[in-house]
Amino acid sequence: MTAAALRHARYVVTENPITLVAFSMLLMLLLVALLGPALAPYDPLKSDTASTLKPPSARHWFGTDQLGRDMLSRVMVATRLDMVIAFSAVALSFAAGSLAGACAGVFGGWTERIVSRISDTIMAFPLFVLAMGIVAALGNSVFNVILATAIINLPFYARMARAESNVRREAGFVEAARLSGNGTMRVLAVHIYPNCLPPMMVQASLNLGWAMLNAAGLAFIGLGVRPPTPEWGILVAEGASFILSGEWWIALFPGLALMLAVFCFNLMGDGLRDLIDPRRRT
Amino acid sequence: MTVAAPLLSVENLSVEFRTRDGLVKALDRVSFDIRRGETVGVVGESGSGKSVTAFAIMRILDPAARIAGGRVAFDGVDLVAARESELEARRGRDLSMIFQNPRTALNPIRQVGRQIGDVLLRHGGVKRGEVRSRAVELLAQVQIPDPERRYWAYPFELSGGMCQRVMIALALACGPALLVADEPTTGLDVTTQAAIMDLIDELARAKQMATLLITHDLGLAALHCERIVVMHAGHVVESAPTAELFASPRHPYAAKLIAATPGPGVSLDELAAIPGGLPDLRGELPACRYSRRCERYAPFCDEPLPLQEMGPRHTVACWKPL
Amino acid sequence: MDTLLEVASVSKRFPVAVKGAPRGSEHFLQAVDDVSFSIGRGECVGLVGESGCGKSTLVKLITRLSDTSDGRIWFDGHDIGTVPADRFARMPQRALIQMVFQDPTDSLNPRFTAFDTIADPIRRLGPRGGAGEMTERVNALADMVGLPRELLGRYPHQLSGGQKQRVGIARAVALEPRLLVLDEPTSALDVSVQAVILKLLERLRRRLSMSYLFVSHDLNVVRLLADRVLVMYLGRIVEMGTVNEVFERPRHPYTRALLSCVPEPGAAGTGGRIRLSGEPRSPIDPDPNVCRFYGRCPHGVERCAREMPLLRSFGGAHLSACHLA
Repeated sequence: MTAAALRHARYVVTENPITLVAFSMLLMLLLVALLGPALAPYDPLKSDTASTLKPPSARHWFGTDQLGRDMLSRVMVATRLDMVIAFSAVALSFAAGSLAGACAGVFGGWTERIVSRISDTIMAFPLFVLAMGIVAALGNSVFNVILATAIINLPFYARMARAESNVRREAGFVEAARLSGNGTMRVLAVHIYPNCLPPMMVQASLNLGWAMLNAAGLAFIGLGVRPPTPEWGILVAEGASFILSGEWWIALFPGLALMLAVFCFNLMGDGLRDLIDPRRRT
Repeated sequence: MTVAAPLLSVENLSVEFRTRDGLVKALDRVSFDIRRGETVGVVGESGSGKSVTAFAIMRILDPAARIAGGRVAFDGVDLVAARESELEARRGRDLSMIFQNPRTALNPIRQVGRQIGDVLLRHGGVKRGEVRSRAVELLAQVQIPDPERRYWAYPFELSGGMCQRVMIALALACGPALLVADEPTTGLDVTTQAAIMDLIDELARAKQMATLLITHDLGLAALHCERIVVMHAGHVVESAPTAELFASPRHPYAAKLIAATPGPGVSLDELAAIPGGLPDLRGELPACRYSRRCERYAPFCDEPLPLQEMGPRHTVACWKPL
Repeated sequence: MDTLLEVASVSKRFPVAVKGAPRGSEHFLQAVDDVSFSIGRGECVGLVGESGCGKSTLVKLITRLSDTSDGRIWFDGHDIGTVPADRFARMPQRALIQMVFQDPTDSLNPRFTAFDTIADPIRRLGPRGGAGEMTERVNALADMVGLPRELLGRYPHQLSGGQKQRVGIARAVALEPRLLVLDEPTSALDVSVQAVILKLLERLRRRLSMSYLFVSHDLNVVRLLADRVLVMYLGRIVEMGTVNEVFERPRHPYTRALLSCVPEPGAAGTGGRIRLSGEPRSPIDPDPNVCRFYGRCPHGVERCAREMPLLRSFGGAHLSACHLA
């Protein structure tokens, strides 16, 4: 990265304190995701029947659950799985959706009709219900959760990419590329597609939050990731039954973690747009 | 014979912009005046500060801008010191503006006739029942065919030239004493441009209205303005009656600008090029912002710029005028 | 004179939907209508006309970015009109017909450095060579157009308008084309920069022995570079001839009106101006028997509404399409 780009990045992050907060939170989340098991004070899967359902204390910051497992460790280790699911789903969705949309925007005709109809079909369903259906049909596994989440997010990227590439198709530099001997496929791949990406990055950031909620939601209702694998959705599900009997900490802390992560991704969206949009640079 | 006080008098106006890379000194002690009924052109290239001047006069500068000094006396009132409520009352009624891109300067989701009506209601003291007929009258005045029907048109349904006519109708609705026209015909065809400029001239004559024409097109200014103010990098370098300016420009930049404008009888070799580029308006600037590009530069050019009188209403900001 | 480009009866129609028309009826926008002209080797031909006259469409047809509806185009003796536009990139003539665009910002890929932009045509169509040779060639091109070599690593948003236009010119001449189409190359630039770019273009033309098709709405600029000029109105050529003939002794009423509207410093005022009334006729489904200028034309007789005027000679190569000229 050039010095100017770094300076610009630093400016964007410091200009708006909210952006700074969001990026710091993201950094923290990534750290916990990467080093989770190493940082966790206890083994998340190890049960200690002597100290079950203990409220938050100096020994167990987030308390313990019904099997005596340390909640803090469980929440920390779950970070990795949730982040992996969110990032993978969005990456898959982004790649497939943007490619399909860009082709639709540039070629028009049947390509566009097919991509549009598929998008419309997906969007005709309540998206969470569709995800449920896909995971139920394909089986409970992390991969299927990622796939389901990716599928339901496809239309957003496809539409954006189609609109962006449609506009760029008429641009001077695209004509110039054709004059320089670039064939249609090259023009699409090298000239049009890379220029469509920046505005879609913002959408991707917002999507991360949704993807995470989606995965957690599926796990909450028993689809996808299954216990004892620590995942925020599962933790909330397990803790839900204990709320009424007063053990509020089992559901609260994973829920808070989820909320914080989604919040962070949403805040990041704005900051990311400022960083990437070249017009915001002097 | 007493000389009437000018309608608009810009005195030592300085404007700065706060940007992330520092303070941009966009205007530095700009001064000129306009008399009632006079048409004055402000000519300059991009970055000369001519649009900033127009926006500063109308007090519609970007929030990042700050008027760092000077005053703008309009009809006796200092617009720089005036309160926003006073400015709002005056804008549209006593002084108004038309902009470069007519389609984007009009509200895209409101019919054009109603937009004119809005101005009439706000400033024109016109009763509600008469607004529509008055607006149709104005549309006819700017030579829009079939004004009764076009009252209901949206900007996107009209051509560029027609949109510009609508904007003129909007600006002239309440008979202002001063019209500020910021590049009103850039982007329009030559024949449309001619028609629009003729329209502005006719209406200005009929209503005794003064016009401030901001343009980069020297030929256009020559044809329609009585006096021309030449700007470079935020400075007024020369200000003179049109014929005098073209017959014998006194500032090296003004002379070069005239020599760089293509016209009949000028061959490609004779066309002057102006070396260098605009100075960076953020950093340390020399007293004369043209000095670094000027072939007549001498060490005394770094002294604070004088304003030399070359004749009645003809001033030059140069130590070594031609 | 040796002919490089020959355009014969070229037309381009676009299907359009018309509100309120009966179902199943087809309507066409006639963007270019029966245009014929030629460009000789080393010649600079100007093409003038206002918005909607079809010059942009004609340019796309000549540079083979779009296909004709009718007519033939010959380049250097080869019929290039029959190869579809999306396959033209592989033809040997692709490198020989290039273009400089109007908007320097729009015509450069925002993610390519100046170096990449200039190198692109060489990489696609130029002779094979190593990285070192490529750098040398791009450097040589940068020198030729007066672009400082340090700027080659910059992105478009880091360059000024004049610098961007130089990059565009370097890209266009990289393969030493025979025909260079210049689409309003200086209208987005300041007057001081314009003079420099125009002189550069003239120098390059001589040095690389190119022919130019110089498209512009600015008649004063066309006058500087062009040998001959074509005047277009609503898709048809209404007048053509040498620059002197057309500018000093225009024969078509539209040309006369156009010339009278051009502002000139030192002119005596707007009194002599020919005012055109009304709006141009619709280019959709135009009546082939009515002169396109009829209605706005200050003259105009009954014959103009009955019979489309064709280009007639008025001595040598000065042609005008008017019954009354």
